[in-house]
Amino acid sequence: MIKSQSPDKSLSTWTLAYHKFFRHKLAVCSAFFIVVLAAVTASAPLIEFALGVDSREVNLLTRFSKPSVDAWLGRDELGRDVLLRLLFGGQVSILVGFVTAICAAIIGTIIGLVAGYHGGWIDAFLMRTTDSVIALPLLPLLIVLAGLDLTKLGLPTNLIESDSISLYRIILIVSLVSWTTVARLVRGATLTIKEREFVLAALSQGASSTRIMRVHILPNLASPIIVATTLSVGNIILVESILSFLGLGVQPPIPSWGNLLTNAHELIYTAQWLAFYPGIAIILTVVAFNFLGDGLQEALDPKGEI
Amino acid sequence: MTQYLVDRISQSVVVLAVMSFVIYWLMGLMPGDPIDLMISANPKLTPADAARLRNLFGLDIPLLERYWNWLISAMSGDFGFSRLHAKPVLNVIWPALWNTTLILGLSFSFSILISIPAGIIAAIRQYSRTDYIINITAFIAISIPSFWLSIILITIFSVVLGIFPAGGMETIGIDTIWDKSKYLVLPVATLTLLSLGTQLRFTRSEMIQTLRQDFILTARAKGASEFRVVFKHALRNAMIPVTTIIALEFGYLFSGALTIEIVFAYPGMGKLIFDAIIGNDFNLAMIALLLATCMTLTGNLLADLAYAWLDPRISY
Repeated sequence: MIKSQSPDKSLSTWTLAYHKFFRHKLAVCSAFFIVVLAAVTASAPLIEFALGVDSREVNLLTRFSKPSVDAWLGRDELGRDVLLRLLFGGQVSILVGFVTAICAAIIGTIIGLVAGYHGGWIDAFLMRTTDSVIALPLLPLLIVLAGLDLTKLGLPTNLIESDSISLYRIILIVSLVSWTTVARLVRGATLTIKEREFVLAALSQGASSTRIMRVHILPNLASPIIVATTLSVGNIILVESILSFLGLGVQPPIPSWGNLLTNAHELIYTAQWLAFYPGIAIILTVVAFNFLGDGLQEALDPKGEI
Repeated sequence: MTQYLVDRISQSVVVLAVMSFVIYWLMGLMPGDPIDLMISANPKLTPADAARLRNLFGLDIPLLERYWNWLISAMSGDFGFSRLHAKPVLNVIWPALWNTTLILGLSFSFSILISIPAGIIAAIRQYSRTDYIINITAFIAISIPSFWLSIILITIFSVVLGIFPAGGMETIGIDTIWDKSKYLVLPVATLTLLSLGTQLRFTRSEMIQTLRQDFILTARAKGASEFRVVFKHALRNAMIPVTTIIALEFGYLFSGALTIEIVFAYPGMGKLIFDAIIGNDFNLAMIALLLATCMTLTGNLLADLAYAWLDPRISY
């Protein structure tokens, strides 16, 4: 129960959600964990600078060295500091997860909003398309998309040869297949909201449909979109790690948690511990995002107990 | 119901047709076309030769026309030759399909046998320690990267303990069921763990919701035993959405199987697709991808039909 200061003072939706969220201990811990993780991985270059080491420097004399004071988690097959590589990899994996989830949410919101608001054949067409995308074998298709020859798509050569092209590519192709959940949720919510009085009032005052969707319906869709996006970040981090592990996602020299594990399969007979850390990092992060999404869902659910 | 069935099936056929074109188009955008491969195999080929070969194999005609030609020959049962395996495509696909069906079927059965009872227990004892443990396990199961779990299991059971083989399908020279099943243990265990999470979470939440319904209160008020309330009244209703999710999971499981087959070097459909795409084996990749699409579409179709069939409140 939330004690409000005076009994007749009502709490706003967001204050209520805020209070409810803080009762969900796992979600609060997860939010804390994510913030700390993001801060630590983001400051990886600073840590590198402070320690005076270069995480990309290859030193074959120190390969596979055990954890020590210089390298807390030991060194990898090329003598690089495992902890620093892990932090740089985390930077990329978390960034890709966030950006992709937001891109997918934008695509899904537009499709769901248009389908739900206009109804009729537009709705039927968009929703059949959504169902069809859900019914596709996504990983095999992502492998095809990741393997495309970009010169045949007519992209400029300097872009294709840049290091970060693999980042843009993975964000683009994963968002192309991850918008479906948001689209369905947004459509469902739009269907009920568009019948409400304030929408009819706006309509009677001559507001255009774009304005109604943007100003009157969209703000009311915030909670399903926030929940679905948070829950999808974890999933996207997993997909990114699989593709990068297979050598089709984020490409070296840019490290990501997935491509740190590419070599791990060959090293299981010599250096098992190298496979351990990136996997644990992925699990913790994905679990945290799932808990956070769950907590937000409960907090933002108007039907839930107060 | 018949109308609904016809609609759903025709929708799936349309999706399959569209996908066959999209995949055909994407295959053309992969690095290296058949002529590039010939050039790399034979450096004496001049650009003029290459152009002539392109003309000979019909690679210079427009995309739509090429697709149409492919479709005509595919319809007549000619799927072409696999470049990597030097065999007709279908001869390569059948054994792989059987191998994948085997591990998918086994892990699917195991995960249902574990997740449904565990989900029910968690729901009956909501917020108890058991529920907490089951819930955390489910959360972790949906958050583990499939390939990493495979690597860890290989490290523990093959490298350190040496109980199970690290990959492959059978020991050459030994042809017993016992030997083959030893190779199945780790891939099936990984896949079971992966599919467990969603099923567990879904069974739990559906059971909790059903147990809060009014008809459960009525059943209890009439003096029905707790066993009867849970298994007769609640479970039957909760199973309707659970069945749907389980059927939907099938497509997802197919993607999970792909990485596991690659790590365990298990010759199934997932590894076949991956190798075909990486090795520029266009004919094989094309048919294997379409077959995978067909399988997941069927899974979805069955999920929808099961929902309509199991829930008497839904009528079409």
